[in-house]
Amino acid sequence: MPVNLIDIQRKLNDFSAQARARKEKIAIRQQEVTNLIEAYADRLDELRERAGRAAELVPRLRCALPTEEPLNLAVRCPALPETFTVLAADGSQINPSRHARVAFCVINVAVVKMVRGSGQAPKIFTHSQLLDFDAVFLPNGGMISEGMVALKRDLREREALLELADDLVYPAVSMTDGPLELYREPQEVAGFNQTLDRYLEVLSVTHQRNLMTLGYVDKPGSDLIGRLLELAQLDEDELSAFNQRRRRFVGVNDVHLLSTILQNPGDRSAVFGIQSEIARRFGGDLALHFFYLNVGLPGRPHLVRVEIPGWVARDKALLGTLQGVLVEGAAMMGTRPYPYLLHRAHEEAIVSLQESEHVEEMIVAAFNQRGIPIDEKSYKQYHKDLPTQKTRYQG
Amino acid sequence: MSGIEIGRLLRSGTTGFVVGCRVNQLNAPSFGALVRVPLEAGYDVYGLIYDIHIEDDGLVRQLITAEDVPEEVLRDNRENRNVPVEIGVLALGYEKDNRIFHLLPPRPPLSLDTIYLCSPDEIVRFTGAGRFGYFRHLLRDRDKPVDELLAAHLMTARSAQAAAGNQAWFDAALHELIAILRDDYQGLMNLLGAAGEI
Repeated sequence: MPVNLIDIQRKLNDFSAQARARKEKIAIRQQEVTNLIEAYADRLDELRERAGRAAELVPRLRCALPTEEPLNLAVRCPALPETFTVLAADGSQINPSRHARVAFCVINVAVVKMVRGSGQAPKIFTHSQLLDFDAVFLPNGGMISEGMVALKRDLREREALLELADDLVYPAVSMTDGPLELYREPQEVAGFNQTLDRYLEVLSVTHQRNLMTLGYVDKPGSDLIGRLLELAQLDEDELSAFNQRRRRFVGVNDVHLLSTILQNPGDRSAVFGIQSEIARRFGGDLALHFFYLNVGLPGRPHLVRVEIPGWVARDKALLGTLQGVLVEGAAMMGTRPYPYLLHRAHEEAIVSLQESEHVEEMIVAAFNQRGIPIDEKSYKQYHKDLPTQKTRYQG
Repeated sequence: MSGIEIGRLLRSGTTGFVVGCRVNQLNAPSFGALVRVPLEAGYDVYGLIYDIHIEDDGLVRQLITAEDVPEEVLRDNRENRNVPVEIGVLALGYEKDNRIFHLLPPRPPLSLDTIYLCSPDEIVRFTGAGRFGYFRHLLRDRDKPVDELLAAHLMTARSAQAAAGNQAWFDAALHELIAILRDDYQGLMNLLGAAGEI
């Protein structure tokens, strides 16, 4: 049955009214936080002290940490060197399913390497990994979760970038889509820690090879700066009772705060550190930092968040190159700026449904050859897979 | 068989076929060029290129909006991306056991068969066989730019035939076309207009 559009239509008045009310509330909060950015622009020690104290009192605190740059800073995009290397990686996966005939998991990662100024076509590298059969199952007998597969894919993307870190034309920048910080599902502590250790090791070697690295977040919904400024408003008692789920500035995201500051295409914001439970594991040269970058067009700003390790954040020359590379790469996509190479890596990495079915057929054939029994597809899946188009009488 | 490879077969039928090639292979084929598809030993299908079609996709449409497209991006799209050029070919005849037939081929080429550009010798051989029987395949489909196609073909074939010492071929070909089109005044005028450009 199709969606009952009459039901939807009836709801639209209420729905729109709620949206308007919410946006109006947020706009008031937004103005408050915007004023705070100006007020605290140079009070960085005070903010650091407040965030440090909050981190002691508030479990799993998540907020921005000021560095040495004023909060309302806008840095113009510097010129690029004549030649440089850009590497972009992206991955996709076939998640294991208990409804399928056989449980398997594939992680497919593509890296596109372009030497700007060379006049040569970029080189494309694809790595397809069928996870060990044993790795698909957890010690408790369950199947590896989609979140854990995504984590392994993130690690594979970084490993694939590192594998291409020889013979680079410097400066060299590598990037992936999404944060540099990893996300952990609460129930998967052991697997996460193991993956994170390897991830940090890869980032560390990437640093040794002098290959800059970043995570690119398009349309970020983060409110890390707003969270920091909210903490600055709290006294000691309020800080002790602070609940991250009931915040005063909820709904105000950083993009809205900075859109008036980063007005020129190519402008970047101040660099901030990240306070979070997982960010603590990224110490020293790998300490997580971020900045916002306007990759938009004149009169049409488009702010993205860029996550970088500490060794890049500290070096203004490297930071400038990275800023220029991102602005140039995004401008290649014209009216909807997004780094060209990231999109190309996505194009190369994506696994189609047809390919997924083909891999399953290959595994089933291999099992058949070896006399390994194969399960039936679940009946639920069988019925879902039935063709939805009616067969026409051809007589 | 040797020759300049221009691509591989995407789809085919009795009256024609479509060839796919990468953009960087596109310098060889041209509108009106005679091509050959070797099938099994001693059996080749001949055809004429009537359309060269370049597909777009979402990324190409987006790149158009950029102020500047760097050379590396241009080459990436032309060399790496899976956006083939489609070349439409009209079947004109075939060769079996060293004999040219200006008849539709008994069976069309198969997927991924290689398509070659005909050499001047092959053009002379195919166009010089029989009495221009292949013209009727060319004139059958008025949805195609037949007059322009004929003009392009006559220009190439005349040059090949003249180089082989057959100066009279072009006049004979024109006479044959006039005879075929004698009851189609508009078609004849269009053809003569196009032929006048040669």
